[in-house]
Amino acid sequence: MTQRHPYLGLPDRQFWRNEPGIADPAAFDPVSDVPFQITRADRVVTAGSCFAQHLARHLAQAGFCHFLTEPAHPLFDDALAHRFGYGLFSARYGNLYTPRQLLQLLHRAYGLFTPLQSAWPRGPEPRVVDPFRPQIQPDGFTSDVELQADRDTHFAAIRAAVEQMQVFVFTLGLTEAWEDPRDGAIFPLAPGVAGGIYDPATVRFRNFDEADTAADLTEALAFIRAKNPGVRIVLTVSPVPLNATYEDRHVALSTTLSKAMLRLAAERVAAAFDACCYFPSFEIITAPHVRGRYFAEDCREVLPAGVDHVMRLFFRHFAADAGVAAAAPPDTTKAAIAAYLQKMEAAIDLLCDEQAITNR
Amino acid sequence: MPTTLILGMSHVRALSDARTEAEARSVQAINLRDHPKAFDRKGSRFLGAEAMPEAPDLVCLTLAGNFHNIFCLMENAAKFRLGDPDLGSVPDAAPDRPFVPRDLLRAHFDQRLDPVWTMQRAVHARFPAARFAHLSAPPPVIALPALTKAELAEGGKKAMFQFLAFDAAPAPLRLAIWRLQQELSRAEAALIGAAFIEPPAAAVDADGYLGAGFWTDDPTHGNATYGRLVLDQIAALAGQRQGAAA
Repeated sequence: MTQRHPYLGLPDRQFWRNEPGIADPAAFDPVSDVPFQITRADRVVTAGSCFAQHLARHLAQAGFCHFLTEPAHPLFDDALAHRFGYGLFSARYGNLYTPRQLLQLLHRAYGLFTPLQSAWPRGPEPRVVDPFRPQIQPDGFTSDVELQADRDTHFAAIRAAVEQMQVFVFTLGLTEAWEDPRDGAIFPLAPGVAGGIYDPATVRFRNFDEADTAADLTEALAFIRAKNPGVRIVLTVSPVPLNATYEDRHVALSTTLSKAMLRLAAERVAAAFDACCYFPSFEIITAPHVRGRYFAEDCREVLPAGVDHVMRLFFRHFAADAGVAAAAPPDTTKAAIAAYLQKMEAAIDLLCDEQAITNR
Repeated sequence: MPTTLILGMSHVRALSDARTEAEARSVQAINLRDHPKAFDRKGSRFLGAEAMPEAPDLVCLTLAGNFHNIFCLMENAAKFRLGDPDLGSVPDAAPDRPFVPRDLLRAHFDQRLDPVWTMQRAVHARFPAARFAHLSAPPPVIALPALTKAELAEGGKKAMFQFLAFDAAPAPLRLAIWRLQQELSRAEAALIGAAFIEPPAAAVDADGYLGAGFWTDDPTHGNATYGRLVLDQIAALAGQRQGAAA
């Protein structure tokens, strides 16, 4: 006996009208079975576009191990550290918008690629920015040698992250980028936007298609797996629309085209690797079920309620010990620093009191 | 007679000790640690101290001069190297130490020193007609002193120094951190219209450390010899003012 039609008996998730999110946006859950679990003991590294920062923050808040290999010195509070790009991602690489950027970062960290441009001037003062993370410090670095010293530390932190992480979460953000035509180096921002000088001879616009994106992502993940064969991988696409497009068309059209290419690439790459899957952050925020409520007034920024929805589903599906947020372990280094400062203040105070003893 | 008022904390002593009897009549030095009520609770208003001149011609401020030493006189509980525009970092051959960008520590210092800036502005507001100079704290010494057994046996401050000297931070780091505070203090002085008096050149060695013979029995304060040189700088500034008025 044959079925009346091939859809009979398929899971509810494959039918739009059966989605509980139609009646209750908060119930919208497009996540299918995931191929692995994440425990609170797993070292999770995050990277990608700005949306990945939300993910990193929520992981840490929920008691998961957001694996920081380039933390700020414990002397500094979180707000100041964040202003200088610490703690936002596992290392201080800033936003990695395209897979080509990720791939080149890996190659640079392992000494396989040395771009021609290593420092951009910033303003009239003798200061420089890092062309590959031009906004990592509010006013750049004091000199190119200071930048180089910082970069050596940064690359060591990236190597540590690659080799020691157990889970890698990468959020694809953009297809548009700026490239040095001489060596192919990709910059996250065009020179002149946040440091550097725009010179068409040393930079050109580049818009990667889905084949480029998939190829770069595949090469980057293969590189990571070669260093760390057991790492599990989660790919997502940022739901945040493009801030601007260099293509001669409306930014909304560039946004849909770019997101479509990223989504396609993520799908293809996730299918090509074991222990690698796509997580639908993009769909959760942009689906009609949530009726546009997750975007702020500017129609671009994702509101906390949207991030909460994404992370609720992330934990529901990936967390091996979901539901109970573990208390973060006490930061013993910060306590040691506080004790040190207290001791030193007392010592200096004593010196200064002694100074007050005088016969004149 | 024109009057100069020197207000500060422990660094006032070097100046106070260096004054001649004649100078003591026109240069008043007040250690605010002896006047805990000189500022209102938040430091946003300067109430003054007893026997303070009402309308000094020149006010010299030396507040929180030892702030930098809290961070680096002794090795930090979490050692670090500091970003440096010339060397990359100081100490410059210590890759095992975590790197701290110079701007990050500068921003931290600026936050921590904000109450000091508030106090300085309060003093400026108290003497609207006076000319102001902010005095630099002396630079660090290149090496913390090692003490004799007899000195150690005395206990107290000297014993504490020995304790500090056991784990002194590298001298280039101490100098770099002092310079960071200098940079902020100089900028703040410029912002509120005060002159900034640098450490006297004669008291500083070729590398920028406080020269031998210019510090007291503790390595964070200048002695009367140092104070004498600073008083001469102050007198020159006061003289400039008089000259300009004439």
